Amino acid sequence: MIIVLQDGSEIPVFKQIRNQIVMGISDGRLAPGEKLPTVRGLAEEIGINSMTVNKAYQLLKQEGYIVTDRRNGVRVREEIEQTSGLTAEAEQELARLVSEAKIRGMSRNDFVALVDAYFEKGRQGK
Amino acid sequence: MSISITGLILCIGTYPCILLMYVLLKNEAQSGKGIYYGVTIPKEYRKAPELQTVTEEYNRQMKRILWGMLILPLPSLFLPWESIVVAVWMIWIAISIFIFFVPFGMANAKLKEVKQEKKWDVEAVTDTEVEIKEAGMIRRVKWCHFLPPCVISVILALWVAVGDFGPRREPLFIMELTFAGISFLFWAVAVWQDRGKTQIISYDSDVNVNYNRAKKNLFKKLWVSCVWINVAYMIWMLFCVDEWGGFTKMFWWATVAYAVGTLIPVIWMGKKMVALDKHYEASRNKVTSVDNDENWIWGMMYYNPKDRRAMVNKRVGVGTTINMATKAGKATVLFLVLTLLSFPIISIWIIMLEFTPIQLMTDGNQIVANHLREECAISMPAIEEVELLSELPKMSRNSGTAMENLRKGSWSVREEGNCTVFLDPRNELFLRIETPSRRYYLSGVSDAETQEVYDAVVSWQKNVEKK
Repeated sequence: MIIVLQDGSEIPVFKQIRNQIVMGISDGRLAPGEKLPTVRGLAEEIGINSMTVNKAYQLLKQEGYIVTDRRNGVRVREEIEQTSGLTAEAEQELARLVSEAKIRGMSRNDFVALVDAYFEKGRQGK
Repeated sequence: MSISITGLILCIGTYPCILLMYVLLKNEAQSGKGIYYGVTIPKEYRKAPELQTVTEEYNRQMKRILWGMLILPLPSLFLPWESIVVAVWMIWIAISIFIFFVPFGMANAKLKEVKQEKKWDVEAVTDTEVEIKEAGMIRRVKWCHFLPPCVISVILALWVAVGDFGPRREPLFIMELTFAGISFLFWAVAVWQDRGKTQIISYDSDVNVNYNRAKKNLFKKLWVSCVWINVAYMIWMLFCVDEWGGFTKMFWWATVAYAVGTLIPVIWMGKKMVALDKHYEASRNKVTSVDNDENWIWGMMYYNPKDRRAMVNKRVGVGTTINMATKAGKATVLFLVLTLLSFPIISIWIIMLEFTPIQLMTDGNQIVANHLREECAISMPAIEEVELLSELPKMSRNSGTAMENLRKGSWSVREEGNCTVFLDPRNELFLRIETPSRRYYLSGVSDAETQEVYDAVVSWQKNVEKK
């Protein structure tokens, strides 16, 4: 899977890595149980400090998207907890997106259609 | 009018490089990836008349430069002064190194201008794209590939250092140690290259992984071949020094074989890389982030402060190039600039070497030979034997200077071993001096000066005997 990190973005790199991996899991580019690169390997590949990748992995682990163990390394969790809801932080993010869409004059239907499209994309995989 | 042998050797050695540079730059000017003179051109504009005009102008300039550079140094072949011939060629090499890049840079600037004016936009990639599949895991170089040849290299150098090699030890040890260092250098470069970022050529991760694995495998094989050729050369070198410490003719054959031998895997790898790229041509549906034109100065030099990698894949052609925004890149540029600046300085030094005569004189109880800032002083009481020779024995240089009118430094003399030499070989009289620690071959600016010093030493010895 190819991840894209925006050089000039205000979003911290560790957060960008986390977001890209979550999107990869969602749209099927990363399968359940699939092995992820080691902290050192990914840091070398991106050309950043290992601590940054470590921070991203810690966050993903805390959120329940990945599991780490000494024998198997880092893997996508086989069964991600189905809470049928968003985290408080994600809900806040969604609220921000809805507000932005409203300010820009996007209709409710268009917004829902866009959300549907992203949902479909995730279901089919890329 | 005779032709300078030094000039002829330089001519034979450098002309192929110039031709090679011309061919490479002509090839790199236009690539199948849609990059023209370092500028990405969208498919629909690749036949535009503006692009044809730039190409015609580029070809014209390249031809003019090639012919100019081929003809320019030829008159120097007929100059009688060796140092001036060398100086002309050194400056010519320094100019050749960058002059071929000028038309490329000009074409790049012109095309960027046209592209902006005509709005031939392509999606600029400013993000960093990373293939996370097998990230940091595609490694082909293992210690077991390089450790055996490197250990053999060290053993050879150590064997020469401690073994019973007599006068052969000094020149052999210097050579063996240098080439043992080169073995480790090959290893280091192989590791550095192996750790390079995965090149993204496709949206399919498996394609990216397989392509990069195959590519790194080729590079590994190249460096492993080079290190073993290096070891073979080190072994061969043991038989290339005669019992007096001089290099035999076999040494030159070994050196030619070494140069040709290392060229073979390079050519092999180039061919394999072309075949590999061809094999993956159909799967190539993605350009990498380093393909952003703005990151390439004059379309050739990679400068991207946002990219922390010191080495990136070249956009066109085989191999890697340095990111000049990194510390390693800046150090490389500084080194290159200093090297180029050193060429005229070295040229002046060589001219001074040829045109400054050796001075031989007695100073109190010492014989002093002087040339530029180098001095060789022999205390008269230490002299065991002094001879006036009318013919020089056969000798070969270990270190120092060898010119038509100057021999200076440590030389290996047949049947005598290492000697200190300070003379003008065009003279007819030479001094051979023996001290308990070393032998010397000296001469003054003229035979009269040599005779004068010889007389002074003999009379000093007679005076001592009388007392």
